[in-house]
Amino acid sequence: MKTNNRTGNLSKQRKKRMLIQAMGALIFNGNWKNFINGNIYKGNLKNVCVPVLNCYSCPGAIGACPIGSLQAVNNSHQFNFAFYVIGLIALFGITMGRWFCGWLCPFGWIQELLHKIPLKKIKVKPTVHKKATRLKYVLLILFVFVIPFFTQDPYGMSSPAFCKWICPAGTLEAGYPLLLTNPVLRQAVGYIFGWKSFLLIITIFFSIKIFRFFCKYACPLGAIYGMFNKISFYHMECSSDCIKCGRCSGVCKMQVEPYKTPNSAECIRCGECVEVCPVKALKLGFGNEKSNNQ
Amino acid sequence: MNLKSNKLYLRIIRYVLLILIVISIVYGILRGEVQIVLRNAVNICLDCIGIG
Repeated sequence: MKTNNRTGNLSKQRKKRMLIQAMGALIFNGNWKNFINGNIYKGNLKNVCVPVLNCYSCPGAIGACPIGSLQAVNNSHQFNFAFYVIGLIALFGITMGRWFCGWLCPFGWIQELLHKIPLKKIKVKPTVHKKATRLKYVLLILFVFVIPFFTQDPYGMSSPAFCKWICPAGTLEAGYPLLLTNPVLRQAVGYIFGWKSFLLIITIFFSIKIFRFFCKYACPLGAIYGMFNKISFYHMECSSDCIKCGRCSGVCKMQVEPYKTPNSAECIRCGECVEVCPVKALKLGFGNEKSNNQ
Repeated sequence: MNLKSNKLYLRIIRYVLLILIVISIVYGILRGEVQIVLRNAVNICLDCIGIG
């Protein structure tokens, strides 16, 4: 009976999260008419970064992408350090950690939908997975900070290297919708778009095979939020009631062991481990104080 | 260091960081970074879509 209750709770939790993710995608890309007329929103809401990886050139985007904005300010001719954007990203991180990845990110949601396609899945070995998760930190340092800094022109400006060479979210959410509806842009397509389309295909293929492939191994915003998971106000705690049955690790699709590392940088706070815990030892919230582990 | 002092230490770190973050945001706004964010976000970013 208890097992049935837990399965029911887990199913409810998954449906609830899916619904909130869908709402997040619709709200962050709420200018739907722009998907038809091939333009982008130009209002004042774009002064502010959204807390998720959502390209500001997506026709429906109502806010600025934090990673795009970070590169834009760092590599403008006026400034070399983006206090405002880094401050906003850190504010999102210190309050909720990677909760935004799990509950609001449109690209994360798209990857989860792709993973529902019933094709044979790849189970990445823990040792390989652990090493591969470091790739996102390398991409963050190299493509968001180092390459743009060293490729500045005499006026101190450079291209946003991550957006230009890597970001599959930009290709999917902005590139294809704009090129499909805007004939002027279609004429300018070159080899970079081919390269980015190739990366997008790779991302789609591996997202079908591996749960949140891009989030796990390549997302620079996830890398930043992950660093905040250990200290964020919203966090997980594992109490001394834990019987170390391992059910939490078994249900975790991000390959975290919540009873050992409840605040792992890989945890996207989906809350499924909390639902399956038979003794309710795991708690997610802003101020649980009865615990053993951090 | 015991568990209680660890938690206190963590709580202090959180609030100190929060204050630094708010200062960073306000400083960024005052020196005009918001205009750069807006300027980039309201123009189609050719780099982002793979054309630039």
